[in-house]
Amino acid sequence: MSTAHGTVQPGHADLPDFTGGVDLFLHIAGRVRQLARPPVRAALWHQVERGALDFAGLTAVMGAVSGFFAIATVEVGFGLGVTLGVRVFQALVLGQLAGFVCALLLIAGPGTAAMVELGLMRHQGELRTLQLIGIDPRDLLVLPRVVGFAFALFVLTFVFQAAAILGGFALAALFTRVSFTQQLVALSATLEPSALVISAARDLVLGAAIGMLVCTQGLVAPFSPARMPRIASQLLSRSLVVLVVVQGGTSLLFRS
Amino acid sequence: MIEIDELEGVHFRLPRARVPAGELAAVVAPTVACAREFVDLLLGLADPAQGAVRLLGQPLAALDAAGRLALRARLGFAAQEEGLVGHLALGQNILLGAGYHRGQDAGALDARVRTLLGWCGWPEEEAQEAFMRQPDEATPFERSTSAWLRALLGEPELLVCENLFSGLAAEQRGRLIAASVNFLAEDPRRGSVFVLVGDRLVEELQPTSMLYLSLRGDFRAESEA
Repeated sequence: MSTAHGTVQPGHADLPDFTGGVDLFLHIAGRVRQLARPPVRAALWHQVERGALDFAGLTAVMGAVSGFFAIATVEVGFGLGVTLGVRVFQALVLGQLAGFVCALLLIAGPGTAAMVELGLMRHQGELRTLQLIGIDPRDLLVLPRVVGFAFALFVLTFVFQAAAILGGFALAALFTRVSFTQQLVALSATLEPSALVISAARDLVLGAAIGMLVCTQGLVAPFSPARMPRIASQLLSRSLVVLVVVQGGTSLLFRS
Repeated sequence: MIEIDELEGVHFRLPRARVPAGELAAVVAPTVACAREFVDLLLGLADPAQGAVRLLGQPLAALDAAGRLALRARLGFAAQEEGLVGHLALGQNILLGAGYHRGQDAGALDARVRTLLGWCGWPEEEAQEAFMRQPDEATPFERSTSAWLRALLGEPELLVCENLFSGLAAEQRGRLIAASVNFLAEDPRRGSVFVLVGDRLVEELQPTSMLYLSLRGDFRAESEA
């Protein structure tokens, strides 16, 4: 509960009783059913749209180009053949680069935008308004963003991977002597369904972690418009740490 | 409906007061900070330094944060400044409370919105156009009326308006006041509280009961210091 003193200063009606991201995460983990409420659902869709669909085209282009360069470098540059080329493509582009690039894109674009939006809402006293109309700000602001970022990263990574396979193989077939079908056959021989499941699970966890960081920076950490550049760089550095830990940890655990 | 017992905040004091159902009460605050703090204490967003509030028969001090949120879901709150969510269009703001608490969407609320627009004399076409705007692109009347519509769409037992008339022309204030009187007339078990900054608008509002917040002495001393 806000203190009486805090309520008279616009911009200081913070989230009650929350000290940090883990605390906030534990709370919203038990509130998933709130997604059934129409405004929360609309906020979730808005977040997925802004986080994934707006960037789908750019991600597809990056995926296709990355796939092409990986295959062309190994097959043509090093002359190591289609099997090894596709194996490297699978481990490097599908396993690591896709999640990494999409997470970076999510942090730098929608993540920073959402963090600033939440911080400004708090600064302008809108959290107080939500509480006064009986809405828990965590239900309307945190829950859809955390779930939305998780889905957004999942979708973006899937688009990147699909574009890397289809576009990358097609470009490689155009510019090298290896055919599209040869590459697909080589990939299907080595790609295990479990790798796809692990990749999807990792993206959901990483996306949710990014969403939590965004919400913590916007709603819990000290915020003012003058501090925005510092807060944005904090978000970036913390997200990068989480990104490296989750990506590296998954690779170590599952050797994907 | 509202029972206040020797309420004391950081900025103001209010002796014993009672607002029964069916009343249109005016609370005259000497400053914006007092008005804001009064609303926070009345609706249980903050705890008073002294005194107690019973709202809709429930003592706020006995309720935890979740209980207070649930109680506020039975009320309607409207304010012009900071009363809307900045990144949502006016139309989305209007549906926010009813959508969240009752699961109702625009289609289900259409007839009620039309009735309320009629009460406050806002032509439907003009209103639909305004509903597409963000709060920072809207006029004071559009913001105030949107906040008022949002509050009433939840079919509240008690309407609480905080400094709702700021920057409105007399004719626009009159429309919102007349609409609020209609809201009370529709069901005598309802009540409404208009928190005003200064007593300039009391005559226009014609309240059935009046409460005056008095500045706390130590606050004046602090200000002078």
